[in-house]
Amino acid sequence: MKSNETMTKLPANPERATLDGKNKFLGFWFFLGGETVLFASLFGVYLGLRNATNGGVSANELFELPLVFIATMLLLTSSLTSVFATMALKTNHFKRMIGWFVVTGLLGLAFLGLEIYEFNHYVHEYGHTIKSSAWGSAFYTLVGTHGAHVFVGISWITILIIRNLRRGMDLYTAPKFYLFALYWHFIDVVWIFIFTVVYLMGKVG
Amino acid sequence: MSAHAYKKKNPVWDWLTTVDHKKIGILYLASGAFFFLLGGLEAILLRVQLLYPEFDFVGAETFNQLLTMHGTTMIFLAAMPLIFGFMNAIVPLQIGARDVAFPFVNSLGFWLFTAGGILLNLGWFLGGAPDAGWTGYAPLSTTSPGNGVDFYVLGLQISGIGTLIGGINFLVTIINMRAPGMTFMRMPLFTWSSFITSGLILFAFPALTIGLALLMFDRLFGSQFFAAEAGGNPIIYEHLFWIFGHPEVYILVLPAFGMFSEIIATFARKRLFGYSAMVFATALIGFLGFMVWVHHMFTVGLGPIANSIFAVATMLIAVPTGVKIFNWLFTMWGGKVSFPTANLFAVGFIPSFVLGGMTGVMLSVPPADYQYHDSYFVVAHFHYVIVGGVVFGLFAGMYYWWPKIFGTVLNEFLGKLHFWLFFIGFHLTFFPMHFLGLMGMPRRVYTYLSGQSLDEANFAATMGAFLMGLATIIMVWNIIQTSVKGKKAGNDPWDGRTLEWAIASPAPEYNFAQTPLVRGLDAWWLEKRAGNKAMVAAEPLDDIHMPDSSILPLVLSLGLFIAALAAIYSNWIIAIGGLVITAAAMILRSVIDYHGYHIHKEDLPAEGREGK
Amino acid sequence: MAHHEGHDTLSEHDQSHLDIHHKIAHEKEFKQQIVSFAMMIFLTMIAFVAVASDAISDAFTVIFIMILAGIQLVFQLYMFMHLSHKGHQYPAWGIFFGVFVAGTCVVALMGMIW
Repeated sequence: MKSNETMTKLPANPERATLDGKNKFLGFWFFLGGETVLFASLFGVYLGLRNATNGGVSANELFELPLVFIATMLLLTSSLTSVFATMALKTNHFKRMIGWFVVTGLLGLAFLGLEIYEFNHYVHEYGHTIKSSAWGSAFYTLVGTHGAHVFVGISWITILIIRNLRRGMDLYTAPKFYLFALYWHFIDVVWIFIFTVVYLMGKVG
Repeated sequence: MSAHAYKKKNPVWDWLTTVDHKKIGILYLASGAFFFLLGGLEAILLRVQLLYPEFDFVGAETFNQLLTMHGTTMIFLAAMPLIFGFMNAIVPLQIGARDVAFPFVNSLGFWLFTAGGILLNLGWFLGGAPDAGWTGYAPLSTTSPGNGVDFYVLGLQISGIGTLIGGINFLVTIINMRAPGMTFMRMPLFTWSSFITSGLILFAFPALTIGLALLMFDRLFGSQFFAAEAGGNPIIYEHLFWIFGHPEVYILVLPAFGMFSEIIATFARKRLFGYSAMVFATALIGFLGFMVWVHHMFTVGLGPIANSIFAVATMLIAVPTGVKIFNWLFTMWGGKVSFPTANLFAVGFIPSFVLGGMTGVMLSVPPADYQYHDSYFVVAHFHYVIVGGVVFGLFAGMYYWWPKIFGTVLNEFLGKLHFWLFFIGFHLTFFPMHFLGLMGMPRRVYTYLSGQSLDEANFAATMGAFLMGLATIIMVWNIIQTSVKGKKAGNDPWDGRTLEWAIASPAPEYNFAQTPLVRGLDAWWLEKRAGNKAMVAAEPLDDIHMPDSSILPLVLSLGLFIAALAAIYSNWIIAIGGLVITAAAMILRSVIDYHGYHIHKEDLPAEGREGK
Repeated sequence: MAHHEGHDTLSEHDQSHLDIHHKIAHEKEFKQQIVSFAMMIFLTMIAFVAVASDAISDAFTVIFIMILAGIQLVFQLYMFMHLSHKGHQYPAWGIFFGVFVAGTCVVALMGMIW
């Protein structure tokens, strides 16, 4: 991983070096601003309905903190690896960047696996489904929407890596990777509020 | 690839794959006009049903569908695309840009909107249109039998995504693509209001997305969000709908305000009075628009504190709006005012909208609102602001910018006939509704009894609706006639003030052969006063980079359309197939390189090379 | 260890086009990212411990963990997403207006229903 790693000279912020890159960068940030409202609406619905258990299982009985803690660690770590990838992008280390993004995607996959296990567990062990109560609906919709975002993120980075593995980095490609990193951090931010508002507050009651 | 190879394309294919913002603008205008006529037809059928007491024309069930579809169509499928049409056609020209920031996304926004609009209207042919009101309140909407409301939910969801990405496109375009010298405080007011509107779209539509998604889950997957018997809460839907819904009102009316500001200043031949106050008022209305939604829910029973806070915030909006009204009046004062059709609509708007604003302040008082709520008083109010504000604005904008968009001038005689018939018809329809409301006639009910002093006003309202219908027919005739043998327009038929009038009509596909240098507010007016025949160029003549056209936006939208239609009938295999098409189109877009092509400077027509 | 490997490659190959200031800034940022990450892990652990232990009252726990989440939000936005860097004024506007509307939504949906 020594000699061929650095490529032709790229400027200091390759993701914003072209007008196209600038547009994508700004447009994506605005998109995240809209996503903030999207998730806030779901959080609001969840908070409004969090005691509406319809006589079924409650949050305190359902959630297991160790599982949530592991999921949180996986996602937080993936945020760090994604930052490493961005820094490699900015310093022109293509292979290192790909490496870190692969780690990021794998951590995301592990997180998603845990979530699927968790949902499956709730449905089969506790009979807790999207139909059981308004709280159940709100829980699966909020956490599921986040999970869907993780899934989209994993698919996105997979396609990006496959697409660019051979052709390397240039000013056309740099914004694509940078936007993915932004997206991934945003997903992490949402999870921070999910583990706090849904799981931890559910345990507090 | 040269420009010539590009131009030989089949015209149908060209329109289906175009990423040119001017063509997308025309597509938006055309589909918006279609839905406007459809929504207008629905309105006339509604009024015929209410012509006489206990009249049996369409009956209760169809009446409910008609009123739902009239509202939904007019707001989402007519007003929104028509505004996006003007934004596409004009905003890049006004800021001296060659293109929008995201041509592909722009075209995707259009096709998603169209797919959603068609899906929404398919209900008419597939067992009944939506019938739960344009607000789709739960539990009426969650328990509505048949598939009507499913068409509403999924159609709006798809077109909403299109609107959202269109909004992002315009935010970034206006921030990043302005010509040299075009500072924020030199931007024309229509561009400013488009900017604020795009911001409102970005932050308001996600709430609607969630509201509709939850409605969809309740209807299709048996979730319990709004089912009170399982602990759900229908008020959540009302909140989500109006957190979106009130900003939506400003999303519609702010661009119209922007159009009036341009038109009134142009035809008063004076600089807009209080430009910076206008900009500030626009931004303030946009901001306050997010803090007033509860005034739609005063009668829900949220308590005196919530109601009072939102009442005060609502009244506050009257202040920046009043600033705007006075600024328009002062712009005209002392000007050499002329009254072509565009300006007639602009000037006719002022008293009409003020009436709607006054009833708005009346409605913002919660105790009084308990009396007005769900009566024809409310119907009168919102038609005064939406027709008197938005529709008048769209008509004014159409007569004003038609030459720039199509290169011909609309017939002024027919235009004035259109204005007077529409203006009289509009007031004849909606003014009596104030009194109908005060006398207790509830909205959304398919008939009324005789002997309650409701007959005459209802009859007058229906006559007014016929007049508006006649006016619209004249407008359509005017458009057809102009398209067939219209008078060619010059580049600057109104002696305009802003940059779009500095270039050819219709604008060439690259807009500006050389990016113009902007030297002040009303950039083109300044150059004309300085004796210049063209804008000063900010760059030497060079090859022009153009974006690649693409069929993928259409394919992507078609995939979602198929998925949604299949989901309505719970055919999950086809639904997944549709989503696969959409995903494949997205992946292709991500994987293929789009580097665009160049129009060589030698291929530019001589008159395009302003500044030599 | 990734850090070491990165360090070596940087000094051997990048001097041609990364001037010395850029390099120092980069190493500084690297350290900041590690510290931020450590802080975030730490804050997360505190939040979990606060909930798991019975030592503090429930009402206080809720406020406490919400504050911790808020701090993590700032870390993510400013350290990992570089919101403080040059050229981020418009993104900041976008995200903070989003947060404002988001706050309004949450307050309405949890507080203004019956």
